[in-house]
Amino acid sequence: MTYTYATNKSSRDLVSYQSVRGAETKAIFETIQEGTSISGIKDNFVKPVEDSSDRNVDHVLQFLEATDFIERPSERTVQPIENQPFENLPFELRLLHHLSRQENPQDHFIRITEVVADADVALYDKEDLLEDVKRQLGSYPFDWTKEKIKMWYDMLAPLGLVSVRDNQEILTSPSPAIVYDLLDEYETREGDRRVRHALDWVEEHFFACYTSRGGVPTVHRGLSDTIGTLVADGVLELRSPSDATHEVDVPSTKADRVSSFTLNDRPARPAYQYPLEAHEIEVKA
Amino acid sequence: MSSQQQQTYDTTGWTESVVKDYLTATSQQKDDPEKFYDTHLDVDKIYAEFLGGTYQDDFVSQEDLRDELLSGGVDDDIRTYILRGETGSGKSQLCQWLDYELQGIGNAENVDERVPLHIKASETSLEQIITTIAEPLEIDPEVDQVTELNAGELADGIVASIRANPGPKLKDIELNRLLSPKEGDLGSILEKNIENYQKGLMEDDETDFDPNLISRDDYRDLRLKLGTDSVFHENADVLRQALRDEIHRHFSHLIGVDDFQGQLRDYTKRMVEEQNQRPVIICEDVTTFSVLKEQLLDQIIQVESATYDIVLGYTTGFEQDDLQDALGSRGSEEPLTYLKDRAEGYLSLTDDGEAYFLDDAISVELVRKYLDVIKRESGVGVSEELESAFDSLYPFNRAFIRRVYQNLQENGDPRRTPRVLLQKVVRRCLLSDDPPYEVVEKSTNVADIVPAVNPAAYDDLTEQVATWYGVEDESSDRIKVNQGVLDAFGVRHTSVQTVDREDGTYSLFESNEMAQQILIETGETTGTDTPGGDSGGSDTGKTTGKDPDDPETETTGQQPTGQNSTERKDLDRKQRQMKDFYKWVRTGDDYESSEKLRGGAEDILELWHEPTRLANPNATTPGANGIYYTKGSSVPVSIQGANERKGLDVMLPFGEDHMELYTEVLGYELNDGFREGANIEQLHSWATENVVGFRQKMRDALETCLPPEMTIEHCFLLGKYLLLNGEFGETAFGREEVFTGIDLDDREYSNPIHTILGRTHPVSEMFTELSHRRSDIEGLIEGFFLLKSSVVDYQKLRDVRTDIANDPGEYLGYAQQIDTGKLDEPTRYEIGSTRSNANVQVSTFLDALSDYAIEVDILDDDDLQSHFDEYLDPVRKWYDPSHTATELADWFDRLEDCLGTFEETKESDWQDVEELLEKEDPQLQLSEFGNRIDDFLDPELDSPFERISVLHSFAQSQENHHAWKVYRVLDEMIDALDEYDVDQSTDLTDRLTELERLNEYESARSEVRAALEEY
Repeated sequence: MTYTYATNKSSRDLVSYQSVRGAETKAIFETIQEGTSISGIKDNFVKPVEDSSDRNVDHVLQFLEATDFIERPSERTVQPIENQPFENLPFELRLLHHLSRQENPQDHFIRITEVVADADVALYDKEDLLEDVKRQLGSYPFDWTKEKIKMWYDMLAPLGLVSVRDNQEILTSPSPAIVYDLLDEYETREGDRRVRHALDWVEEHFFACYTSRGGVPTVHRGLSDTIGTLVADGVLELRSPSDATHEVDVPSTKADRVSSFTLNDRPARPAYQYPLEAHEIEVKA
Repeated sequence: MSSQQQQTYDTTGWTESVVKDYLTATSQQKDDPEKFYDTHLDVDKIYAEFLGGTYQDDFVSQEDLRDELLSGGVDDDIRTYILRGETGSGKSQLCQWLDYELQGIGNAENVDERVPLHIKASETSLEQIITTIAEPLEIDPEVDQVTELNAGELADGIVASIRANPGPKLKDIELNRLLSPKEGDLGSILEKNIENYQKGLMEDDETDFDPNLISRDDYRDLRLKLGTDSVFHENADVLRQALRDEIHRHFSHLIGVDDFQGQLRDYTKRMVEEQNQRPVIICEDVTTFSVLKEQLLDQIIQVESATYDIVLGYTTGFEQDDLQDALGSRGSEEPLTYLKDRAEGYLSLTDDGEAYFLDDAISVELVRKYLDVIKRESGVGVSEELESAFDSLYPFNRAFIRRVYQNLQENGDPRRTPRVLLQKVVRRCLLSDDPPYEVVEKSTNVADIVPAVNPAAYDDLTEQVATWYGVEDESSDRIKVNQGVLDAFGVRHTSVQTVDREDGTYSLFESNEMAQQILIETGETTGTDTPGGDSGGSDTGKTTGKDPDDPETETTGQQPTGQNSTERKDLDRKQRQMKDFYKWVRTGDDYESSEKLRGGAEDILELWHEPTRLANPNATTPGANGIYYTKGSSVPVSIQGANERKGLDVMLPFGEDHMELYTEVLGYELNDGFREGANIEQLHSWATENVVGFRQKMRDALETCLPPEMTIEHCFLLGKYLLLNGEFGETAFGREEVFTGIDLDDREYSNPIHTILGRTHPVSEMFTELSHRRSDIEGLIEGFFLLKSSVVDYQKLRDVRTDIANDPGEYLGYAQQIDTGKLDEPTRYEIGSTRSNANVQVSTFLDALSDYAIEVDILDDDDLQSHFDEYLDPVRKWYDPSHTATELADWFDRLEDCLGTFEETKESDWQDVEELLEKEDPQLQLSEFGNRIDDFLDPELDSPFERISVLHSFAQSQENHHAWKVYRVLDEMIDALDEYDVDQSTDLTDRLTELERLNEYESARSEVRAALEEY
């Protein structure tokens, strides 16, 4: 299935949508159907008070358009771009995929995950991340700032790619839900359970996984911890058969190098939900 | 388990009596030079602040000290060598060695000109000291045995002597009251103390007894008995020392020591002169000296010449209090400085509870020496195979001794001394039927250490044996234990890997990496380099920088700093806390330091979440309200079985399944951060689950008060709806109404719930309560239904708002069923924008909502009618749709004329109406008024909300339609004229005509009255 780019979309840098966060981006996208009027969206989402501002909602729509989720058939309406790859997956994963499809210079957003993977730390100080991004992604036609870094994690933390600890450090582990769903999707699509192939596939379509790629690639610390969590929870089993060739080093698991995986049933527990859904069980059915 | 091990554990290699012979406080072998040298471990590391002219701030060996003593001429002036050391640090051992060396039994040469006078710590009674000093001269000093004398008689003798010869310092003091049996009764104190002294002398061990015949406490008691005005009170310090010195002087005299200082000088002089031998007094521990302590010290620091050397041992700490006391005042100098200034050497055996010369490698050799002798003397022998497996240290091995040594303690403080190692640990192990690892696990002299192998993976026996006997395997990061050791203790494991190494076959066990890292990080944060290999379970000393292949490597530090005892205690405490934890997590039993685990859990739960806040979890809305569970200072955490909270909690159940996760939690608390290898996502997931669970409990508790159809979100929106309805008569509930702030300035009239129903009406009273919650409700709506300050959580709001908007009456009914009595701990659920400012109980809000719902539902059409009647009556009476403004103005004028005739005073309202009607266009909007009044005349309303709404319409009409006032004033005017009236008509025109007729009559009458008055 080919990926479709929205036509005439804004070329504003994705990290410049500083008021846009993951929570409302997902919420707003989920209300959009064919022919949805922009004014209707605003009616629903703009806080209806005298001094209300619809700027936020406008920015979310722009961001969704810039990431090829929606297009504007007319000035007054929006509609989803149909038949995009991975439509069956949750919005969280689709956004990561769409980000990974952006061409230079809009690829800057997903490339921050490469910087995170390179750093290979569980907790990433925000200022360190900014410095590393400036160094490694310095070729883009804009200056990196802490506001841009904040926009990045405000978008992706609610979606589960990272968590923000105490407003100080970024926990670089993706949510167990992300890892489970991606491994599951890979197995379903490809009928294959080789860890190396699955993670290569995640790198290609979603986000960076490896901190080193030469020889036996090593999974970065945050992702490795999540994989370790799935293993400790009995949700994921990793094996390293003696004849394994395509091995991966997952430092957080007791087996040093692994080659194949088996997914067991997905637990219903909150930790296996995406962050925006994790608390849903709070509300009475 | 234990029966199996005890069958296997072989204790035939030593006999109890031999063990007791060698391992006692006053070791027998000290009397036997051969045995002594067999067990003596060279004291190779003594810290010398200075020694002779050669050493300054350096470590010296026992030989260095011996050679210093052997240097110099026979008749040189006195030389003093101060030897400090903590109890059991090897002072006695070193002194005994010096004694033998100077006797020529050891390797020393040129000892002919020396005569050692060895005063052992266990032989410090007055007669023993004198006898020791006199011995080389073969003199009988004719001193009585103190223990054979009658304490009472001695005491009486001292009292009598003091009375007769009080000495220079006491001669001018009134002593009668002090000595009198009826007052101070010094005699009784002395008798008791002499008895104690005698008992102390007869003990085998260096037991603790106060060698003073009058202690500080005794003196204090005396002082109190004699009263605050006595001289003993005023000048306490000086007189206590003077009194003590006199008591000791007379005591010495009474038992035959007339002049100790003189005798000492005399005897030593004779040794030099008659025998050409220089006496070397080796005084193991002056601390234990009794009556001669002051006299000896005084002698040493006399400027007068004396010709002997003295090694003056004392227990560290002694200088702080006793020394000053014993030396008395020495001018302006500190006694210690004074003594040091006159000494040739100032040496220390220990620092902070640790013997310098003994490190973990040397401790192994020390134990080896004793074991070899004991086994040889016991004569049975241990099989070579067994010895080989145990590094020839059976029933210990090298790792065992090192680990024990590193964790030696006494009274909870680290104390790494030979005495504690030998007497308190090795001896007990050898005398016990239990295997050594069990003995040390229970021993109070060995600090708790965490298992060296992963406790989640092995049973207790394996864990203990591997912990004490295992070492880290260089090539696998595992813990290796010699197969022979495992066999000896009956440890059987099939699932572990076995490897052959140069020195034998080993089983490899998974190491307790987590605990090691936690404890190493402790060391790193406190700046020490010691714990890793020694106490954390790794024997290779990864963090110590030692060569892992050479177990005999010495510690490298040449500075006498060693490991700071605070850090050591810190580490010991953490090890103990981890041990506590391991025990609890397996059994759920007592858990003394459970606060640590709880603290870690609280911190981690709060790292990524605000666990006690119930609001929209996906929102970033600073300042918006939430509901907080406010009990305690943070999220309540229970440790199952050991430390459980009342009320809501996050429960940490025990069970080995949780061991690894909880170890991280505990480590987070102990090190104030995650250990390097921690899987933080696992903790993050754990925190998420528990926070979601805790909030769910909060919600469940709150919603127990609500009928099943209603959520707390419904309550907030219903509250807002009722407020809008109550303040403005609003009955719609769109999205705007949900968020629009209630601004009472928008209302032109006063709230009719209060003005029309009256302040004391139950609806009015309950509405007042509910409106007090306005800002709470508005804040909660923001907290629950916004995603950020300008973006609505549309999906979340939609259903709840639609529920209320579609049928507010249904939810009003539910609200009446709210029962906050069902809420446990109602004071713990509070509304606020932060936990610290949350101070409005949710139950207060729910009660206000429920109470108002009940009252407003009771309000019916008749109630409303009765309140409207007062306003409606004039209109009912006089209003007719045909009326025009001009007519009303005309009637007003005519009525006013009439009333003027009767001299009725004008009410202010009348004036207002007059002004209104005089306007060219008074804007009475009579037709609109006419249309509205039908709503009020006979209200037939479907719901309480409509009733409140009509109430508002009524109040608004009152405010906007002046016709209400016009008819009321006309009615009042007519009422006033009614006083003078006969007939009555209900038609306003007729009525006016009648009144005008009356007016004519009255005009005539008043004219008559005026004429009469004039007349």
